Parts: sequence; C-alpha cells; structure tokens
Amino acid sequence: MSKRYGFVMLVYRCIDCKACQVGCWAENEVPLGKSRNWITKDGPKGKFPDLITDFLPGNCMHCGNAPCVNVCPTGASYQTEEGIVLVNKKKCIGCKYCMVACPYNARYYHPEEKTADKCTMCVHRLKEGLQPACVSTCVGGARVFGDLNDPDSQVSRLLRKHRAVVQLPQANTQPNVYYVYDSPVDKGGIAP
Amino acid sequence: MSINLVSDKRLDNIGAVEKFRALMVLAGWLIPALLTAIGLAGAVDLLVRGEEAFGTTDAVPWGILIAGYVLLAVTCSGLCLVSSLGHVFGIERFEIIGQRAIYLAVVVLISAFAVLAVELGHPFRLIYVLLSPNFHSGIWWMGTIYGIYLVGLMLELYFMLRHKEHPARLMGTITFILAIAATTNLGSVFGFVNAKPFWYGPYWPVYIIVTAIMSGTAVLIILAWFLQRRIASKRQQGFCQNGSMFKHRLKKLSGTLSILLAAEVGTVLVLTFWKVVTSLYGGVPGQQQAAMALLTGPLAPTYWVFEVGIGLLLPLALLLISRGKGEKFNLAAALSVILGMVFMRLHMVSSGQILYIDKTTGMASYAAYIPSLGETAVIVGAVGFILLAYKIGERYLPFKP
Repeated sequence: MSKRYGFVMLVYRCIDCKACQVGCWAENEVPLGKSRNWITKDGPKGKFPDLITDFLPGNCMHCGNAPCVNVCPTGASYQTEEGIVLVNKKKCIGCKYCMVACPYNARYYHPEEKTADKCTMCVHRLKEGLQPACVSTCVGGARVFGDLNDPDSQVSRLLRKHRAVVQLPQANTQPNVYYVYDSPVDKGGIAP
Repeated sequence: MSINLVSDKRLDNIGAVEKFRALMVLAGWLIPALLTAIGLAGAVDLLVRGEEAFGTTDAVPWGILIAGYVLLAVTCSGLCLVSSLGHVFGIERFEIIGQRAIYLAVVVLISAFAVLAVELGHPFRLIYVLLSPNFHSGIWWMGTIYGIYLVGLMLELYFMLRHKEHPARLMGTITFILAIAATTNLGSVFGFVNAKPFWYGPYWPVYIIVTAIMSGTAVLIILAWFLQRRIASKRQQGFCQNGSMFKHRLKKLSGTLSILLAAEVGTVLVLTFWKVVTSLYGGVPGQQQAAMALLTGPLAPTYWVFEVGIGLLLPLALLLISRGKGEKFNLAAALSVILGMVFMRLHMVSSGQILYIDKTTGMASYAAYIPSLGETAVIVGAVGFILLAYKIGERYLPFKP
C-alpha cells in the first residue's frame, strides 16, 4: 500500500506561539504578507468563569477529494500518490479558480510568480527523510505528521486512540488533517 | 441689402453646421480611441506592477475584470442568439441586422478575451489548456468552447459578408448551439463551486443564459437606433438610396426587440427575486449572509439603485409604457438595462465571495473589494475598443443593407 501523508493536530497542545508559521516562512521563502499555515482561535467557549480558548493549527488539508484539483483547467493543481496536493507552477495560468474553490482558504496568490501557491507538506524535506518545517518547529508538539496508511505511525496510533474530527466535513473534501481536542492528561493519561 | 444680410447669415449657419458635423465625426473617432488608450495604460500598469495594482486580494480573488469578462462574453452570446432569429431561423424582420450583430459579437468576444488575458497572470500558459486539459474543470470547458465559438463566429461573418447563404446558415446554426454551450458553461464555473454557497448549484447557468439574451437584445436596440441615425445623416448628405425603406424596417425591428426585452427583463426580475428569497429563508449556511450583503450590506447601495432600480424596474416601466412603439423609450430602456447589467455582473461575482471566514480569528465578516484604477481603466478600454472596432467595421466592411 502506498503512503498517505497527513497531519494530526493535538489542539490541547497548541499555545498559539506561531513558531510553525515562522518556520514555514523561513523554510519556503513565503512572500511578505502571505502565509501557508495559520492558527485559528476557537473561543472563548464555556460559561464564565470556566472559559477556554482552543488554538487550531491549520494549513492546506491535502483533501482526498480536493476541490482545487478538480477545478484547475490545466491540471497545474495535482495530487501525488502520497496524497500531497501540489501546484505545478509551469502549468498555472493564474486564473485563481483553485483559490475560489478551496473551502479552507488555504491558497494564496504569489505576487512575483503570478501563480497560486500553498503548503507543499515540505515535500523537499520529506524526500530527505525530514519532517515538515512547521512540525519540526512546533514547540508544544501539537503538530504531528506521518503516514496515515502505516498502522505503526504516530498519526495512526493517535487516530486509533482519540476521537478526531476534520474541518468542514459537510464539504465532503475528505481532509487529511485531523483535529484531536480532548487532552489525555484531563483523563488521567499521558499524551503520546 | 437686407436680403444679402439674411443670406450671409444663412451661409454662416451652414458653415457652423458643417463645422459642428466635422467636429462630431472627429469626436466619434477620438473618444473611442482615447478610451482604448486609457485601457491599454491600465493593462500595462496591471501587467507591470502585478498584484499590488489590483484591487483583488486572497480573500476576494475575482474582481471587476472577471465581472467584465462575464459581461462581455455573455453579451456576445446574446448578440449571436437574438440575431440568429433572422439568419438562422428565417424571421425576416431580424435579418436586416444580422451581419452587424455577428461582427459586433466577434468584436465583443475579442475584447472579453483581452480583459481575461490582463486578469490572468500567465496568458501564454493557456497552451496547457490544450496540452494538459482537466475535463473536471468548469473553466476548461468554458474556455475551450468560447475559443471554438470565436472561430465559428468569424467563419459565419465571412460567409455572411460574401453572401454565401448556405454555409452562413450552417455556421449560424453551429454558433447558435455553441453560444448556448459556452454561456451555460460560463455559468457552471460558478455553479460548481461548493465552497461558495451563494454560487453553488444550477441557478447561475440558467440565469446567465437568460441575461445573455437580455443584454444581446438591449445592444441590438441601441444598434438599431444608431443605424437609423446614420441613415438619416447619410440621406442628408445624399449617399443613401432606399434609406427610408431600411429605416422603416429598423423601426419595426426595434419595436419587436423592445417587446422581447420586456419579457426578458420580467423573467430576470422573477429569477432575481427568488434567488434572494430562497437564499434568505432556505437555511443553507452562507447563503443568507450573501443575500443580506446585497439587501442591506456593503453591496446594497449599488444593488438597489443600479441592479434592481436602473437595471430591471426602470426599463420594465419604460417598456410597458412604450409597448414597443416609443423609440426613445425603447432606447432609454436598453441603455438602462446595459448600465444595470454592469453592476449585475459585478454583484454576481462579488456576492459569492463576500462572506469571508478569517482564518486566525475564525470570525465571519464581509470581505471588502474596491476595483483599482488600473482594473477600472481596462474595463473602460474594452468599451472604447468595441466602439472603435465597430466604427472601423462600419466604414470598411461591406455590410448590407
């Protein structure tokens, strides 16, 4: 079975430090004012005084059923066998249809290259056996990356152990980025 | 003595009239040329400075250039569809305007492609549309069919001008089918987008074909009016034989077109009403906010004044008063439909993108989009180019009658 890369975001571990963003900017030379990843504030939730704000690390969901790939007129947006959604810059005509079609607003327009641009899962690092930059720089270990098809990978173990959700399931995009909200520490366990 | 004075005055008057006429002829060429130059300057600005010269953002990737492209491409289809009532379906009344309508359709479609080329970052990479097509993409189908359609229109025009009736009718039939296919595919570009609830679904392909016919009819009314004026001035100069016959036929055509236009405006009014009402009360997430943006939000002033007021209610009232007979009413209605249509297309493109969920705060808000100077200039230039190219065609092509 081929690999299928994905993320598991441990929401309870994210402290909104934005090291993932800075790491990505540095690694991928992201243009000023643009970002391939982000942290969404979810909250404050609950009833005073028991309030909580969750931080949700995000990036391209590398959807199994990717709308950006479906709408691209030239096939510039494509998906690798490992499930990574990429942009072939040579083929991109700059029509921005993929940006309009992405329900997660994960793409941006590259001002110099005049093409759509997005998270590549740091595919150049993966080839060298490294983790994506955002995962390597994550201070709290909130971003976990790995092969979802490998039952022994950390991501697979986490998904077996915890209830995970995806963003906008109603869009039927089959994202490969999962979110785990419940901290095992709260239940008396220790996070893997 | 006094008789001499009167005749001198009359001579002066004739001189003044001649001067005025010459000035008007010059202005008729200079103004479109100036508008085209403004458009070219805008295009250079957008191509050189890139993203910073655009009003569009990552939140609102499609702006006035996409709206302008839709307006022009769809008007081209409308011109083809309405005029084909004559040279394809054989309704005699429409035959009189066929050649000019198809020429105008070609010119309008070329200007549409020019606007799109400025919007695209890499127009030359369009070769990959052929080399590596993605048949899932609405834009692929739209672009490909519009490309074939342009070639078809040019062939049709060639046969019409050469008076080769059979090939002209055959090409006319083909372009009639292509016009419907291209336009509805353009609607589907919006209809396919699941991520934009206000766009998703079969509404826009239907709406766009109805509005295509509406804009085509309106342009033909304006064209018929200009042709009548032209005949009047040619007759004064003694150039035009059979002018009164031609003028009479144009007047009758204009009357029929205005009745068609009334029916189309009524239909679009009904479509517009139900789109907003179903969005408001249908309970689909995202649709209600987009409808509210039109009704009371940031798009409301232009929506009510231009799209609904000037674009639909005013022309409907004018056309109902004129009932096909008052030509100035018909012309006013057609002009007001076209003005409304500019905003209608802008709203069509903006309303789908207006609801924006901020990634960092998770808050929903209305995304702002103000067309930049360069973008607006390109649209102005497209109008100038159409006027200029039409004038050149009218002067050098063997249009009949």
